[in-house]
Amino acid sequence: MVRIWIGGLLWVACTLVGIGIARSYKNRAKFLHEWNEFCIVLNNSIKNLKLPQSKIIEKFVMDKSGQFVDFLKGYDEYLKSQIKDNKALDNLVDKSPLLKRERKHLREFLDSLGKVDYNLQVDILKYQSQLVEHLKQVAEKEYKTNGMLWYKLGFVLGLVVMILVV
Amino acid sequence: MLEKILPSRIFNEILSCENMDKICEIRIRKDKPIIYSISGKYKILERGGQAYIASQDEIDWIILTASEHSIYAQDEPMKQGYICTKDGIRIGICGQGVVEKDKLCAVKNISSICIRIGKNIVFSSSKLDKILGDFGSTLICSPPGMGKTTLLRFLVKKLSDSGKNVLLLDDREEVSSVGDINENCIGMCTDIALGIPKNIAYKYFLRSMRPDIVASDEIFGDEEIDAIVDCVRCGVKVISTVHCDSVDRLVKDTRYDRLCRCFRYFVEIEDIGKIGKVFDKEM
Repeated sequence: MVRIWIGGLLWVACTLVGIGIARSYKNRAKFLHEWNEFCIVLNNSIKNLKLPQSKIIEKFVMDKSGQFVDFLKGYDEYLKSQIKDNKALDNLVDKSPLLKRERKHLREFLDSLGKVDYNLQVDILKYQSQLVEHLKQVAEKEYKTNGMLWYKLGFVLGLVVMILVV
Repeated sequence: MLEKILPSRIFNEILSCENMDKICEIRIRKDKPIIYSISGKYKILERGGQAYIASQDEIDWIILTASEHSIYAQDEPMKQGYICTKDGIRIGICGQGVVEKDKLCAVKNISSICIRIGKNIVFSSSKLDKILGDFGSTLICSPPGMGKTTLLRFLVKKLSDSGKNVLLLDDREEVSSVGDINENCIGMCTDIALGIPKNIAYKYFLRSMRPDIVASDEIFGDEEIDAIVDCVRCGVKVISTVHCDSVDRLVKDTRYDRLCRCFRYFVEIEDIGKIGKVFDKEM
């Protein structure tokens, strides 16, 4: 009886680990998906209306939730704060569910916003949007392959462990 | 509002010396002392008994903060030498120009800024009673910094509240939303063309909004004079401002003949917030 319980628990644990890893892939893909959406909104709002960053963020986060929205809210607060501390921005970026190289891109993306004139900003955004689109596609592909694989692997491994224990 | 655009170090220094409400201008130049103005008198900002010297970083910080971290949104105003904050504070900028085919494309390496804080001065209307009672096109004349825009705003509100449809051409966004001034200060019958170049605004809104009066700040260039001549020909009254030291000099200058013929009243500003002579051409 005890063996069945232990086996069952190990199966659940392995499955949860698999789900956890799959979720990290999913969160990363979702974050990049929303970042890509934000790039499109940013591009249109700057190109057509020349809206300031904070206005665009305000419109984008309205009625939305999630890690990227929280990240944007944090960035907006940073912009509005009197003290511009690079560490605060680094911490914000580090909290994102992205890989190290993607975080570097995110930091560069933030650094590229609002510091140059209109024409250059539009050009930079075009380049950044293409980059984010590429990152999103890679992350979505990895979620579908690796993420789901980890989920299935956790489930099957748990099952095998349970059978062995029982 | 100033606390939002000034680095806290500068803001706190000014705050420790003066009442912020009295300050109407702050001039910040790279590697030079910061100077501020109270009722037209300039003072040097001091820190620990010595002049506070502004750095390039502080100037860049102000530009970035004033533009809400969106320099691209201030592209056109910056080409005209200013930035307008969302609170309506106008910041004049001066630096190195990037010129292409005789056209200013951008201003880089900004080394001087002039922050002007709008004040809601109430003018005594006794000298303006005639203008307000029997309105005709009015030109407000004075050197810079005497309160032309404030008087324009005052007249716009009075005329608008008396039921006249006023079209306010606020291309530099400083008439309708400056400092402690909000849209209630420009009257209930005022339509505002905000941030639209005047040559375009005159052309389109005169037809679409059918105003009784068109108000605009700081006449500059032949194109605008042409537009004013057209307005007056259409039967629309105009109220505007122009930089000049006296009405006499303006009227005698043959280059402004066409402009002067359009206006009935000429108002001189004697001192900050103080109306001088009011000339009526029909008297």
